[in-house]
Amino acid sequence: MVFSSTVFLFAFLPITLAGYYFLPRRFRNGFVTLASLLFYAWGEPKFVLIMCLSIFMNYLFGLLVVRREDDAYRRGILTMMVISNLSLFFVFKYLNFTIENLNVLLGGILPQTHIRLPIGISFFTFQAMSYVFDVSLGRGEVQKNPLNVALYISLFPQLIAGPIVRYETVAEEIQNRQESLEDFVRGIRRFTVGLAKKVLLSNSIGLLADQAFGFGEASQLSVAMAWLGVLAYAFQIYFDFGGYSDMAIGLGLMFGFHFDENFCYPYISRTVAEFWQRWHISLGSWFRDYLFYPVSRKMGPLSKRVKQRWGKQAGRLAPSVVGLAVVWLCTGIWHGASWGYILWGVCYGVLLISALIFQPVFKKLVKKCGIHTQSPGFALFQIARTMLLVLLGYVLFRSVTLGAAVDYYRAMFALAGNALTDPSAGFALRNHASVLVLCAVSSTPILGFLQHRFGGLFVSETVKNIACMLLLILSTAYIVSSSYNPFIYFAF
Amino acid sequence: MTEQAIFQKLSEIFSDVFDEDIVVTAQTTASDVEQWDSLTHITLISEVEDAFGFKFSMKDVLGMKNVGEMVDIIRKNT
Repeated sequence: MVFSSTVFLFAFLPITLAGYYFLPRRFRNGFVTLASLLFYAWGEPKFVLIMCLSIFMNYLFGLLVVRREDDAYRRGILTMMVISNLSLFFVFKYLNFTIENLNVLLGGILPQTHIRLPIGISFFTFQAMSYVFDVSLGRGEVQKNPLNVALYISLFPQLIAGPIVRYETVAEEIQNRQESLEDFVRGIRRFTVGLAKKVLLSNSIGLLADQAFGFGEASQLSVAMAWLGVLAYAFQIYFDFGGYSDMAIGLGLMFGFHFDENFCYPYISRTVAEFWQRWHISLGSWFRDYLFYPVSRKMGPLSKRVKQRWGKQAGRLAPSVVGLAVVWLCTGIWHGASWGYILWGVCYGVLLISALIFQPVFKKLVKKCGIHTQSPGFALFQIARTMLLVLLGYVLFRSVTLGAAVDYYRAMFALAGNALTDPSAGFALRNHASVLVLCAVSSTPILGFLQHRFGGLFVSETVKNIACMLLLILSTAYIVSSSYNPFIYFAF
Repeated sequence: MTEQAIFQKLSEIFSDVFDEDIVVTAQTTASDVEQWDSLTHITLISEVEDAFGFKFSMKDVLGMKNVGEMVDIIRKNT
């Protein structure tokens, strides 16, 4: 079921909320779990069994891992847990792709599988693994009742496209949470803002991105249209995924759960590393805690060898370099079974590792040129440079094939014998001007700044409520009148 | 080792890793030091381990909230 659909907004959500608050506290967890399973089964009547298998499996691993204290035992259980989860994940997400590629090498001797991707599997698999990891690290109590594990993994606000809530964040709230009217109101507002981001901003600007990326020949795509298209895609994906996360956080609040933020104005980042601290934060922190730290911590011997050979500084960087390489390869693969995503992940890995290695050189250069690093001009330069790299990354991310991505790059840099501009670019710009401005403003913390600076009308509860109502009415009108439009991150 | 000596030694390690003069207190957190992110955290942890001769557990690496907690762990392990 999609949040931005009439069946969710006018049937599922009101009924679930009414049932939840009508029931005595001891039945509430069971009721939300049941509602969440129904929510999933609505779109995936068969695959709901896969999710149940994942829940049951990790419930058992959770119980097993805390049975003994010794490290070797726990490592053994965790290894089995990771292998089991990743095997399930592999079959449903990567088997088709693997066989397809093996067949290229082996001359087509393997029968090609056609396994469909269960929606949300990348999110709930990672969330389920977080349960066992955190329990083994003592970051949250183990659950004796399988229904509570089911609630944590399947909770419908964050089930299909995150945020990947780490167990530690909600362990306490699964058993003891205090719903409040204040949170409920905040939740409704947050949900409405997210809904508006999705249907009013993302879906509208998405038309422009689709037009540009749907080009036939690279020579037909003007330079202006190519850049406009990738900028539009940047806004489309941010308000799609960011909007979804707002809705998830808002829905969580309505039921008394407090999830961590998943986005923090990524497009004002000054470096690529900062961008990834502000974009899809829940995935980044998952990889940081459960992959980057464990891998880097194993690199002690390598670090010593590098230190002997290339000096202290290099020795210090070595563990991070290996950790980053592993994390970014995995981040690429996580997004989807295709060479495009893998290459996209590798590119970010290379960028971040180079930034790390050459940082001292850049620092010296900036100092030598007498550039004032705290000046607004330098900050703007850094933001523009980061945005440019992110946009180039999006081309790879959005293109259907690697060939299409190469053609798009050629068009962007006028290497395809294409025109600098054409009437369709001007027309598209005029047509989407107001949405583009709205997107740009909403991508920055300007509104929050105005509230803070001027107060008054900006922080009046009445004004906020009226604005919220208007957004809800407008969004609903759009949903009713437009065709089915799922979220981009449902594909991952 | 006295608590004061531990803080003294930590300040030296921090200054060396972050390449600026830093005097740490129990309340110092990652947001007080501009360059303290997950990458430098790894370097910092292993330098502290080498200096005090013990290994942090994974729970410690993920869970330390400030330098005060780091000092508590160091005292427990040395």
